[in-house]
Amino acid sequence: MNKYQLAKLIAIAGKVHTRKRVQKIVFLLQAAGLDLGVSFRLHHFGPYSTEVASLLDEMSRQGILREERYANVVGWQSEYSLSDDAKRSLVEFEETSKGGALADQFKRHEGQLQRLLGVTDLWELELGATIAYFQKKHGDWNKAVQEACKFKNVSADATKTEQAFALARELAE
Amino acid sequence: MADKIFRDPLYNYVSIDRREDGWLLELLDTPEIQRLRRIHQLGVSHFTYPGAEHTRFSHSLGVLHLMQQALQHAKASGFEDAQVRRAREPLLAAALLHDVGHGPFSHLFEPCLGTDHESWTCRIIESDESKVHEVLKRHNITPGDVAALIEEVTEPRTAWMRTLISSQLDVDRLDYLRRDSLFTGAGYGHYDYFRLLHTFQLHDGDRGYRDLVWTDKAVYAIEEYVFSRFYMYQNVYMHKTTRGYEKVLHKMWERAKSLRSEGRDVRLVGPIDSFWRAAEPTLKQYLALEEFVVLSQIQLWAEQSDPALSDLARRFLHRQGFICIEGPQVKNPLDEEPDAWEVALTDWVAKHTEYQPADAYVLRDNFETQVYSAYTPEPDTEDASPMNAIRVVRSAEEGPVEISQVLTRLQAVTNKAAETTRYYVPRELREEARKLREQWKS
Repeated sequence: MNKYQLAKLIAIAGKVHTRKRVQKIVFLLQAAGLDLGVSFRLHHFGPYSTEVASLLDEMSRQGILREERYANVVGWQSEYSLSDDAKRSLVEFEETSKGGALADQFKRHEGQLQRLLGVTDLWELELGATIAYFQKKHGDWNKAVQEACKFKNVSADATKTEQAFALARELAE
Repeated sequence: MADKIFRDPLYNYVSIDRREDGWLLELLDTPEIQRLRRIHQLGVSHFTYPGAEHTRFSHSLGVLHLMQQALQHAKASGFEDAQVRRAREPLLAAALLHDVGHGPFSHLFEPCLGTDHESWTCRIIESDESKVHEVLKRHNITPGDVAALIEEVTEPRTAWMRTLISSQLDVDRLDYLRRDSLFTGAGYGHYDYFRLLHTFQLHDGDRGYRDLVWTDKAVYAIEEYVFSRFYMYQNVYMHKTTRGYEKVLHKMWERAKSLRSEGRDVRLVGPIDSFWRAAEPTLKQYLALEEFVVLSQIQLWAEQSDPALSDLARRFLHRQGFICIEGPQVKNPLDEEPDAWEVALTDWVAKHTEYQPADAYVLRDNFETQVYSAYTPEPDTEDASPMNAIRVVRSAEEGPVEISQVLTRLQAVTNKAAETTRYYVPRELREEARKLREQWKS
């Protein structure tokens, strides 16, 4: 994944709340067919990419992303938006042939991205991404749901599990 | 019968109880583990640090030793419940076998083979073609359990086991940082590893996860470890000269494959020919790829008719390498690949008739594979786990806290900006290339 792709995602979103949300959106967008070239491993909270984490850090340091950190009952969380300079850089870059090609690639998946951005429940994203991860591993949706529920210590029959499964299947099938 | 003793430069003695753990000695004697004696731990770092001749074998033995200590601590601390007792043998096996799937020159060769060592490690453990598998089964140790510890965590209650093997602070790193420091002579690998192995606890967190955390007593030892990791990363693992020779090897491999795909005659040694022809290489074909095979191949290529391939091969063999030119600042920060600079550099090299084709002589290092990375923790509490953060528990009321939030001076190294791109050109072009870089305006 390159800086343009992450900047474009954040630009379309306007603001993304929590790094976990960024991670799961990138995973599911990639599962939906957008070629981002990111590899993920399974962490406690589902598929996680050190590359995405590093990009968020690097782009914040460079002033491309505006990072706001705040404390809550759990600990610390981050929120990301594009800086004003970065918004101008995005427009300029998309006017080049390289940038234009990347923008077109994103356009083809904008509906799926909007779908993901519309998911307000972070747990649904987390579980959906985990189900999709296991589906990619086993090639079987039923097994994926079972493994994901075992991993997350939740019931396969719960309403939220069904919603997460529907999300994963909609994007990754 | 006495313990089997191995002398080790880090730990003095590594000992294995023949009665309780004789199966470990059988594992050590398998061809798959013995092959690790012929794989450099640090790839081609010996081109930069002549002492860096240590192997994956000694490292694997070292990791086993540290795992023995970790399990002794678990027992002595009273948290050796049934789960921990059952995990003992798979954990010891995983410690010894965690690198068994490495290819020649360790991580550096993975882009050439188009594969990663972890998947081969799991394949060696789980395949009934391997002696490792045979030994495990003979001693009623389920190969799948061992492979699962190396592959990834899939059960919350056993997550801590995998993190002992692979996480931000694990027995693997605890050995290699000190071992690499000793053998390179780059004296940054000093930290109180004994304290780190005797102050961890199991923490039962949310959602049924059982995690590895450290107590308050360990914070300064962790701090030493993180700084050590940072210095080793800067001075050894990302060393410009070493990375340059890695890129020469990659380019050589790429050139040979490209010539072959054009139907040109490229002489290949048997195991490499066999590996390249296979649509899906077998375990036997993969294990036949050793460093002496690759070096024999490079010797053949040094006499190849293609001037670029033979030149790259000779430069590698005789350490007549390339020099590093930093990439320019990019005007637009979203345009990460400054094509204009690379085109200008390549065009300039192309003007020299002895460097044809020019793209074989302009090498780019994108830092895509950060295998040995300095510690950059996950800052969001809700996405932090031992895989991406070292956490300490300071009180019973407070949950685990990431270490750089406790010792804020660590943020000097955890927040350091990463380098992005370096370029390499033949060393004879050093002065001219630097002038070109100084004059470059993007």
